[in-house]
Amino acid sequence: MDKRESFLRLMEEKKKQIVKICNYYSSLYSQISAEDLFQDILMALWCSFPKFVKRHDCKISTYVYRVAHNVSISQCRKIKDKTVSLNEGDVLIERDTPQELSILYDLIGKLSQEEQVLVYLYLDEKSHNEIAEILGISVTNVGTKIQRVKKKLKLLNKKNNDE
Amino acid sequence: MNLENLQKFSANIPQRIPWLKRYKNGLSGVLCVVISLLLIITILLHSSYFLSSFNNLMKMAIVAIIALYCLVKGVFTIIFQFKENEYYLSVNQYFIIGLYNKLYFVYEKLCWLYFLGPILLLFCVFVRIPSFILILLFLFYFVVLLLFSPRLVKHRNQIKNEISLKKNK
Repeated sequence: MDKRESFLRLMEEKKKQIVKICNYYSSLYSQISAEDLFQDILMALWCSFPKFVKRHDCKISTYVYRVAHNVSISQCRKIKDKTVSLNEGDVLIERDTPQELSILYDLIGKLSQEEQVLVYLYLDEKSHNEIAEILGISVTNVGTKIQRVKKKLKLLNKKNNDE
Repeated sequence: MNLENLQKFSANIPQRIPWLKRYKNGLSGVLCVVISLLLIITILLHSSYFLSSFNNLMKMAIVAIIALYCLVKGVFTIIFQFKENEYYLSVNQYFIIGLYNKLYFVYEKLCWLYFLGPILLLFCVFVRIPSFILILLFLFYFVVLLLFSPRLVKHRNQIKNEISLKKNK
């Protein structure tokens, strides 16, 4: 099987996983289009695929998660550089999601980029080991960070309710 | 998101990588290096002219500084191009690369503030600019120095702390 074929087979397998990540980031940042992000992720996967085959230092799903999140992070950085002023309701209007979910996305949007990745992996029900492998940090650190993020989200929610 | 469209796209992806988009940073880096090389060659070829008078010597110094600046910027931009495309790295490592890039820009600003800015001011002294403009320029420089220097140093320390924290995880 040649490189192209094995890549396409991999994409076929992992497509839903990537789409989920794209939808997550496009929900957090209204300026990010899920389809554009998907294309960028596919490009990055295609470009780094030979290196992955050569090194093969992690599982395929870990590789896909790493690339997808790293590409999304770089997209978010570009957006932050060109900040667009939005009215308070703009972000919520575009999202076709229940109100509670919109509030959750708004709260997650206030977290740092690293925390956003962590929340995604946690909500995706990944084990601490898998999260540690994707993020490149120790397993104990993952547990501590999750606790901190939970507390931070609670605080942010409380602040939002008070306002 | 329409999965059918994505299916079509994923089938075409290997042919659809825009080369210019992928290597945008690298190309600008190469351009910087080429400009710096051209400037260095110019200095070397016309060294006798530059050494003929004090004013010409100053011109050479300015050209040499610009060449050096372009060379450093070019090399760093090329390195960043390679590093930025290493998406298969862990998220933490990818963050560290981004932080190093930020740190580079802070150092670049510091370089302008402490090194290139004063040199340009010195150059103004030698090209006989009217004294009131010179005083205004010096005043402007000191205001900028007082305003931005603490901020940049603070920002640099923050980034360095963040990098060391991420490296220890």
